[in-house]
Amino acid sequence: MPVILWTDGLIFLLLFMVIMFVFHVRRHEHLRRPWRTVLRSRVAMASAVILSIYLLIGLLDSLHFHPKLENPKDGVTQYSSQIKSVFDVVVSHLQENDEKTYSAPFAAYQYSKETIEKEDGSTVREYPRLEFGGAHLADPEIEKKSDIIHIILKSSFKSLLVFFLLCLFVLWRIAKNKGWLIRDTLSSIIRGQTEAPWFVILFTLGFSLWFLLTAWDLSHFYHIFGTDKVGQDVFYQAMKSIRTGLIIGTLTTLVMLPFAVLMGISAGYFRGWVDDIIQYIYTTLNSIPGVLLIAASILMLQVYMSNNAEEFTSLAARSDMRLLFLCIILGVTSWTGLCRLLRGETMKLREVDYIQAAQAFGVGNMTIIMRHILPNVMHIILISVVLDFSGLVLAEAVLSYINIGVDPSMNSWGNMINSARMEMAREPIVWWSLVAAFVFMFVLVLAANLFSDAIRDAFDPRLREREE
Amino acid sequence: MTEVLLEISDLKVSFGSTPAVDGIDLVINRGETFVLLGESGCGKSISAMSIMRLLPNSAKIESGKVVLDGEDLLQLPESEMRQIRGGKVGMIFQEPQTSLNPVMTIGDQIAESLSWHKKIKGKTARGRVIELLDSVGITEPDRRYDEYPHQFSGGMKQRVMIAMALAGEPELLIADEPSTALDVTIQAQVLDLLLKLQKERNMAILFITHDLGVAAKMANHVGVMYAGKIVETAPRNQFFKKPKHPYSQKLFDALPSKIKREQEELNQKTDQDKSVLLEVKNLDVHFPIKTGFFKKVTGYVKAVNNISMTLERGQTIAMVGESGSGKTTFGKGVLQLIRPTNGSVLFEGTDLASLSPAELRKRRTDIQIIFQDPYSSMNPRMIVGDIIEEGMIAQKIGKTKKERLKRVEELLEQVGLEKEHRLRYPHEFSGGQRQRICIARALAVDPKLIICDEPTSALDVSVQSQILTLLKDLQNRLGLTYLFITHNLGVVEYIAHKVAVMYQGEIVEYGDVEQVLYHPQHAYTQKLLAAIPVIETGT
Repeated sequence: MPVILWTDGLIFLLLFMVIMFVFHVRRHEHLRRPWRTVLRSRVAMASAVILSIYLLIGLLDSLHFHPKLENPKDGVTQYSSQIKSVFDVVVSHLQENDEKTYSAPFAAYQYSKETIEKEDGSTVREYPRLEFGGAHLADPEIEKKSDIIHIILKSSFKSLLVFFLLCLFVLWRIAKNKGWLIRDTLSSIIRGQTEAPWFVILFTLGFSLWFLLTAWDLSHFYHIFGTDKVGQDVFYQAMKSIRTGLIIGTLTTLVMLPFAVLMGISAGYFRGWVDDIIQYIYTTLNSIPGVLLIAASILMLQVYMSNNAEEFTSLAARSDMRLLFLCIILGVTSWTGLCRLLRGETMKLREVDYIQAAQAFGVGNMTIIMRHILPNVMHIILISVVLDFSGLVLAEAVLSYINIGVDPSMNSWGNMINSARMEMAREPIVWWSLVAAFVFMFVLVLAANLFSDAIRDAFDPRLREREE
Repeated sequence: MTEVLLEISDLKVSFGSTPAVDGIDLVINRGETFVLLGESGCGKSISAMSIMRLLPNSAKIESGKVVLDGEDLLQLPESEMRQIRGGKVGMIFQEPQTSLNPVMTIGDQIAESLSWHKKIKGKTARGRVIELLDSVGITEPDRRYDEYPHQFSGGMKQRVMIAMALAGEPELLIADEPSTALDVTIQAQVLDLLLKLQKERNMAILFITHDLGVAAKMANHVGVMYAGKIVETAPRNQFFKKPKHPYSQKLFDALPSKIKREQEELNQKTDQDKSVLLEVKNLDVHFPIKTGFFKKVTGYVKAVNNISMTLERGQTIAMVGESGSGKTTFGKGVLQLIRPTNGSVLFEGTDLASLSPAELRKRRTDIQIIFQDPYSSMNPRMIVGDIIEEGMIAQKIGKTKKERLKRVEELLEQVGLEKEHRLRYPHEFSGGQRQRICIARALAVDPKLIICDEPTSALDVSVQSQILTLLKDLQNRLGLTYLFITHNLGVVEYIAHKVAVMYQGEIVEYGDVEQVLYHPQHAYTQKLLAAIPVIETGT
């Protein structure tokens, strides 16, 4: 039985809006032009591939449902009260194969010693074998290395095969679209003469494919990023955190945009007392420390949730509400920057001749704003949204670290880093949680930053003029 | 005396694969002025920049020689080139505003150039800078040494730029449209100054301009540039007496003048309704100066002060004045884009100034405006058809989409464009074509009065004459009335019936074209007329 959590609904709404926007852009030549520059950029396309893999995982993780109970009483199908996502089903082996406590990446033995009772009744203190990691090996000491290499080779071969099929498909599509021969298409791709840098795209795709397939195969036999304190697979946690990061990065924007756009444009366009009021609002808001505001509202929400526990049927619903609230409050505190930019730009635009001409025609204010001003400040909105994304992902980590971020029961990179605080202090050190969270976050933020650079280069009129 | 200073031979510069300068040859003698004349985009600035080797990165010098005093500048290493720039060759630009560093005193900026090229520093440098400032006609140079660029007016800044160029005691001065951004009276002063300095220092000048009048005043030799080539080179008198190349002749023909107008007026109908269309009474537009935290009004800028005039149907009245004289503000005040402070604007008997915004909106069809800059007057994100249609939708002209579409197509043809152009974006058109679209947009709502705010001053001469002809033709056909704002008296002679001269927010002289232009009464009008460079074709 499908369940739509608040954030699920909103993220798919956002996706729908993005798709509509894409269709809109495709129909207008002047909107398409800057995007074509983005398409031609090699760095941007490589980052776009990485981003879309993250996005795919995040979206799969946003399709929630109540799983069926296995042995229904009285033959009536019943549903568990637990909420799972499609992604959970895909990687169910990771979720189910828990260990007792910490184990290092690719380990076959637990990370700490335990007292084990032998068959003859005597007890020894040693590192026990893991229930899942490397359980198929008779003697891990000897076999482990060759087993890992064996798996990697096998999955490399598999990914090569898939990659080859993928290449063939792309080749066939381009050749069909352009009416070229397959041979010519191949040579122009390799020499980078196609409009989009297909060589780079395919290469990035192939590499990610290899990584994902290998990790997938290995994770059936090992914990590739180890396990945490309660024996949960860290690789699984890091991947589940993708959704949290994406939601924080995108939904916050959704909350922020109406404020920033509406207020910024009306302040700049109407001037006078409207401008005064809006300016006072954002200077006031700007002078309150953001963290303080966030902490206060999250605490308020917690109190509210514990007073009205009956409204939140499951743990997932609770943590989802908290995530949504975090997005809203982050949005409320972060709209001022964009608002100020838009106000300035609108003030410049309203004096431009074509706006004056529209006024001379007696065109209404709202029409002028929608038709003349909004499309001409769109590039600013787009640039700042894309630039803000990576900042927000990082902000989540910081906020969770000081315990005012997402619900502690929710998987997020911030929570992983937060728990790593204790792990780093222990002896011997447990480093893999921190490293896994860091790597996953780093790749996402780097890709987002590189992509946003390309967007800015393509859309910022000042940068474009310099090129010409 | 005629010793060759600079010789350019077969210079070719290109941007990627498109040639910008396509093999030019020219010779400049010591102490002479060579005027490079041409319209925008013909490659005249690029030619000058390649002498200094200051081309943008995307441009490349393909071939050619630039020999200054026996040295090929294109072969010099960059370090020696730096000594030439500002040393042997000085340069002044069109925009003095952007050429000066706003956070340095002007004295220091000139002294910087001195210390680099002449190795003069400290007290001596100050003395020398003051001398230079004095020689370019800046009064109290000792005090003004320590002032910042924003404390100078446009003309004064250009003088400072000239002083800076002179600091290195150049043998060749490259002046790239140095007077284009200035008002006529200031322009005349700057040009006189250049001529005086040239005589004193026996300096050669390469003068770049698009203005035939300025060329006539400055030149010893004239070179006409067209599409990257110099099509004609001739001594001044010969050129202005009898231009040889067809393109040069076209430039002369394009100049708007009275003679041309008289030829055209022969085939014009005269039976017209001469009732009063617009009557402006004691119009004031004042901008309050607000200071302090509570924005207390401490004074007013009187942009338009007590102006009255009447406009008859089918007439053109020209508002003439220099920048800042309030002529644009007056136009916008009539149009009610800026609500006037006092006075009334009676349009067919209704006072527009006292209408409420909603009532005014309905009357917007009657008065329309055409702007100066054809590049900023259209939304770059709309197609031409939508731009023209906008006013019709707002004023509910044409009930169905189909009807409006038909009208858009008619309008495009009326202004000399094609139907299919409605599907294109503004950036696909040239300046002149864009101005035609703006005219079509204004016509879309059937206005009776059109305010033309310098509609031709951003255009090249040849395009300018086409637009003026179009405007005149439309006036004859549709019985339009124009309020024509301009600073170009040639345009006034060509298009206007009456002239009003504006000075500091007030009309100082008003009357028929003949009377004002040939028998000016007010001292300011006389000064304005005297400042215009005249092309004497006779001598």
